[in-house]
Amino acid sequence: MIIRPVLAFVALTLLPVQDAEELRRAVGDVPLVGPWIYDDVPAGFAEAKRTGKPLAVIFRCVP
Amino acid sequence: MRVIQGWGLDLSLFQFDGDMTLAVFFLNAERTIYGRYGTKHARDSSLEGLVNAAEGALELHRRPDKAALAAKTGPAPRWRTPEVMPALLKRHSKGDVSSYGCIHCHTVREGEMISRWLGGESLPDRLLWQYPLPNVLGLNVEAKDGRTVRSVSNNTAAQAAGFKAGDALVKVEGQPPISIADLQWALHQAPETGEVAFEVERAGRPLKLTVPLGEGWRKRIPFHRNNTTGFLQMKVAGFFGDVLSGGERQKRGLADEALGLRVSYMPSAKDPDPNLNAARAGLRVGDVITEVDGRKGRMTADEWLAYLFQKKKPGETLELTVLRAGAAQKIPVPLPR
Repeated sequence: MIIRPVLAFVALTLLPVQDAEELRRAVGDVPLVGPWIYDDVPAGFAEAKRTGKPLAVIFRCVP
Repeated sequence: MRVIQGWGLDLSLFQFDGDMTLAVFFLNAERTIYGRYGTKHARDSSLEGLVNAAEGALELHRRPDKAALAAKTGPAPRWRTPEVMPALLKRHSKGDVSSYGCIHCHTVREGEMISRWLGGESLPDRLLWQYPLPNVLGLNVEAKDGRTVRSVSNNTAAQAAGFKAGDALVKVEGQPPISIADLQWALHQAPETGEVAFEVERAGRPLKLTVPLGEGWRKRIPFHRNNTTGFLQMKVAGFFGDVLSGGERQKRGLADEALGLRVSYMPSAKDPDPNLNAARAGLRVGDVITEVDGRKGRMTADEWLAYLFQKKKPGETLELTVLRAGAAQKIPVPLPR
């Protein structure tokens, strides 16, 4: 149920791909739509503009 | 995308209740906010609610109403990013994701409150009782969609306005809500007195309802949470004061209506940028404050914090009377400048 709307959003990140992937694994974010974007809002907006999709910005620190 | 720390966060766009463990913004590439998701209380959060909020945002993306969505972006902030707030200048550095060094969401809220207070402001109720839940008006809204009225509390402004269980909230102050967080946003912007306008659907028919806002309407629901408001106390007063329970009062011979704040935590010299004024003045963990500046009456946790942020100024003194080992003593505590 969660997948359909999530696929419609841009999933976003700022770190080098390897670092981002390590962080993603460490915090347990599920790669539903490809690489996550961490801490790079401009990159998120750029991807949203490129794809025409809306952006979901999730505020959640590393616990 | 995920924001894991607040350094450089654009506060002209991202304004939300930072006192939570999760918050979500749905918006488009032109920075139009479709809605927010996330509330303080577990009962108002659910995976189904998040999915429905996302669906609601997608619907707005397909058929945007720019005029209706404009008010989901807040007014220009006092400080554009968190790290330039005076209260946060010393404490944080970019890339520091240690527990203390990181700019958390709640750090943004605390930073603004303390920065304003250090600048000599008396904080308005809006900055203490932030992002009120719709329950404050008597509206109990379904967590799963943030729009359906589950029930209406008796003897409340919402009941007086004519709300009924089952009503669908189509717009609040002209904005289409996709979650309870959107209702909180609208209420956060509402005036101290006045009214809040709703467009509602009932049994398939549109209806307009207006809820009056009486004086002090925000204060019906407490804002105090130990983990964040405790920090606020520590920075201003130099200690965390816990309101004593009935049993604890009885042990000390304190009446129910008396002030009874137990000093339960004080900062250490090893903490980054601690306020040690209370410790240097002689206050100790375990002391029970029975009088503050001549006030002996009971205060709730909210009232205690509001007293600090609304009645005291930087550089003034908190004239405390404390009970320690059965004896009373006076301890004046200077507040930071």
